[in-house]
Amino acid sequence: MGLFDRLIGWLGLKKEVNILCLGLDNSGKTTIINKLKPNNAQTQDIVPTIGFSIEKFKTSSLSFTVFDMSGQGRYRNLWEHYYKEGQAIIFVIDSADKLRMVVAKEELDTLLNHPDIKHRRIPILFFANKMDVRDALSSVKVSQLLCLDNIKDKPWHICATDALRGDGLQEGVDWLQDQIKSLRT
Amino acid sequence: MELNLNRVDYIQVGVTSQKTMRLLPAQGRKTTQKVAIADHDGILTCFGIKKGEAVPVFKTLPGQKIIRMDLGGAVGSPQEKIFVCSGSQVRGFTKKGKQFLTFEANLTENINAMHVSGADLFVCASYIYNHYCDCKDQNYYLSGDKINDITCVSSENLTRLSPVLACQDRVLRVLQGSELAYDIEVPGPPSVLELYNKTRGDELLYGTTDGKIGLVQIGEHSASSKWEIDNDKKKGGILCIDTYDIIGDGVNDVLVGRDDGTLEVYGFDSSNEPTLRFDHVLSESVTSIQGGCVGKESYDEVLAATYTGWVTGLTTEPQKAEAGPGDEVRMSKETQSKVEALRAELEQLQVKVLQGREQYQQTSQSSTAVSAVPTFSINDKFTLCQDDASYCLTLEVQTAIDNLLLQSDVPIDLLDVDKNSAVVSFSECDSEPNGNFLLATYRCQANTTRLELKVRSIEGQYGTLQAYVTPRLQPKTCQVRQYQIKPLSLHQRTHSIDQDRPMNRLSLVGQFSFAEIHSWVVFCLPEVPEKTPAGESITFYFHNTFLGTQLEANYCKGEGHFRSDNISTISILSDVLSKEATKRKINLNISYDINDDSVSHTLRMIHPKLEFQLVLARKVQLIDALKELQIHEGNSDFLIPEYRNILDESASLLEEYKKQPAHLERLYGMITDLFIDKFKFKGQNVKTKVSSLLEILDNYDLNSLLDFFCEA
Repeated sequence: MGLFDRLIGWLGLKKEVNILCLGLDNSGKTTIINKLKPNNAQTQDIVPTIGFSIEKFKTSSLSFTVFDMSGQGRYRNLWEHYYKEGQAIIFVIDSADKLRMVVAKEELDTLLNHPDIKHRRIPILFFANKMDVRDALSSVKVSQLLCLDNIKDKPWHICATDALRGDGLQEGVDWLQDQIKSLRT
Repeated sequence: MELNLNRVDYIQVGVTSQKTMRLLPAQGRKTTQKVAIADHDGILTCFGIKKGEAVPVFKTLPGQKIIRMDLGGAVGSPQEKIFVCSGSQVRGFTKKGKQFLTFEANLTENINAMHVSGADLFVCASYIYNHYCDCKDQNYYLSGDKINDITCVSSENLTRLSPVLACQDRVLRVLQGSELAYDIEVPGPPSVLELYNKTRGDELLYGTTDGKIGLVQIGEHSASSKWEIDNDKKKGGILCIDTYDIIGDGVNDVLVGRDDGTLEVYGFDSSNEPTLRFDHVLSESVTSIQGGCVGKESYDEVLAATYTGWVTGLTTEPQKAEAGPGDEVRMSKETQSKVEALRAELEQLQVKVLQGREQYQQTSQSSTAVSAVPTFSINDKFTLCQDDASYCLTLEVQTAIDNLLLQSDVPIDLLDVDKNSAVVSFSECDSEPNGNFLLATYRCQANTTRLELKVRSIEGQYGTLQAYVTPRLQPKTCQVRQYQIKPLSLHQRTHSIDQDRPMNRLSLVGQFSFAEIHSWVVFCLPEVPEKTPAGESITFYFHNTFLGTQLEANYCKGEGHFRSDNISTISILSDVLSKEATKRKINLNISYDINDDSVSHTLRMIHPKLEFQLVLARKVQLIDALKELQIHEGNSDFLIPEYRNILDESASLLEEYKKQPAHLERLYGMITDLFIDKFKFKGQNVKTKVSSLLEILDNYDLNSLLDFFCEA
């Protein structure tokens, strides 16, 4: 860490990181981000996002700014406008939706092949969400279906989560935090 | 919907009996439940799971072995008082582990089944049923056969609690007070009873030792059967049943645990028929099963306890939560810490054991010291399988078995069991000097705690089968178990027989008591209760599992009548009974009434089996030749349909043929016995004609065989 970083640490200011939260509609992006916020700031009702919204939350050492993108088909072309700003990506998958797993894979492939993303080594965190649903696929199975093993030039990690209860989210964010820190130094 | 359950092992306690684990009701909404389990050391353990670790709530001191556990409490309050029975004593504990009840049931025998409902306590010893209310004696009943389980049904239709006994003679007995209200016939010896719906409480699930499950609705004066699940795949006997909505469709599912380690979940489809939704096989018998939420809140699971005391959960919670790039499987932190803890423990234990062993070696040199033998428990079962007329011997030990020696003083066949991984070696034995007809050793693969063997006996040859079991324990010791092979070993109890068949009769008259003749019948036939039945006379019905012939035994003091449509059965009975009577120096007056039609009747019953075997042999002969033709021509279209059929079924035919020689031999033997017996009753010795009988059998034709039986 440089002197400047340490100074920030002493002052109690946290470094800001921009994160893109992507995924198909109804995969649970807004719910996950809502759950990551402190208890008193959480909203009760979650409705489908229109366009995108910007949310902020803090962890022990970083301050995250999340672009919560809408996952609906007609808004998906909006994603690429924010690729440049993103320093990390959270990709949310509905593990119980086996039918649209191929759509998620397609979107992931176009994301990875986008010129703004392709040559940057940015960490990608996958959330295999809706683990509480009885016939949900396991995280290993999801990673196979999305062919995550083919991602060679970026650090990635997949976590099984239940966003309604918040299970598994912390582990994922901890990993992301470690990755961002190690990238900076 | 397909059901996916992941296995998690929680803790291990001592050896457990059937139905000794229960889940305590949850405290609040959606929190995890505590588990109470009792073992043969007499320890009642209650624990909860926190972050995958078992956190004990309380643990009692060791005592007599605990046979059953039930939960109870005042009516209307959560049922969280734990009742356990050991010996003839019932003890009650609160959920905190405080003992509030010790009740001596004053039975001469040990309690083997118990049910608690409010202030009512129902206990059963082998044949006795007793009902206590607030520890005061209320009702008493003596059952005709061994009681395996008890539960109580109650509903608006029934005026009060009516206890139901599951008895060994394939009957559920519904009691009213101290009287038998009525009984329900079930297709096998029932081993466990459970209410289908705790609140409605008049539908009763039963499981049998031969692996069948059924649901009956109990009414005031009669019961109706709702459904029944047959045991086609020859899975083990049922040891425990529970109902819980694990699938999550709003209908209670049936959870079943079997003695071969199979765990099953039956769901109900739209037409209310039970269908198998999930099964999992553990390596040892499942003694208790419960549905609930233990490991992590809001994830339902099936909790099972096994014979050696493992508490295992099958949870809906996904196991592997995280993954990253790279081929190597990364262990989660929990697994890693578990491995480390085990390694450390193992090292410590190794050092301790080494020291202990050295000390033992030294003290064993002493001339006055006696080496004590470590005791271990064997859970064994020796039952007749209805569909292949062979005995199934299962042995289960709490630790891994090293080897098993089988010795028999009667000629028996040991059949292959696919599940067994043990290596068999047959030692040559000469039956003349030492009476050994079979000496076989099973050497088990590592970690086999359960062994299943199939034994095929011949009717008329009786004696004992001994099993010497040596587990992997230090010092190595061995326990012997003895099993009786009865003279009429292939007979099975039934509820009724067909009276229209041509019957042969054997009557005995002499100076013997009811108890004496009963003991002779117990000696001759399987599945008869050892206790002399109440009343003046008794009738038992049997049927032969191999041939389908039947036997009726009716006897009282000084008189006995046996009727069968098979002459061989009558002949075996008269031989054995007269031998037994001579042993006790009782003069027997034996009279026969032989029906000549019965011989041809029996031959006609054998006919389809024999014909099937012969046709099979002929087909198998052709298979190789046909296969060669098929290879040459590339296809089998030119063959006549009959041969094409043989080719299509060749695999199953060959498999069937492998078992065939034994079957043919058995059938030939039975026909020869029948032939000799028929003429024995006429006072002729026809042993010399056996060779010509065998000739006829080799070119089998039913009519010529019937003629030969008539002429000779």
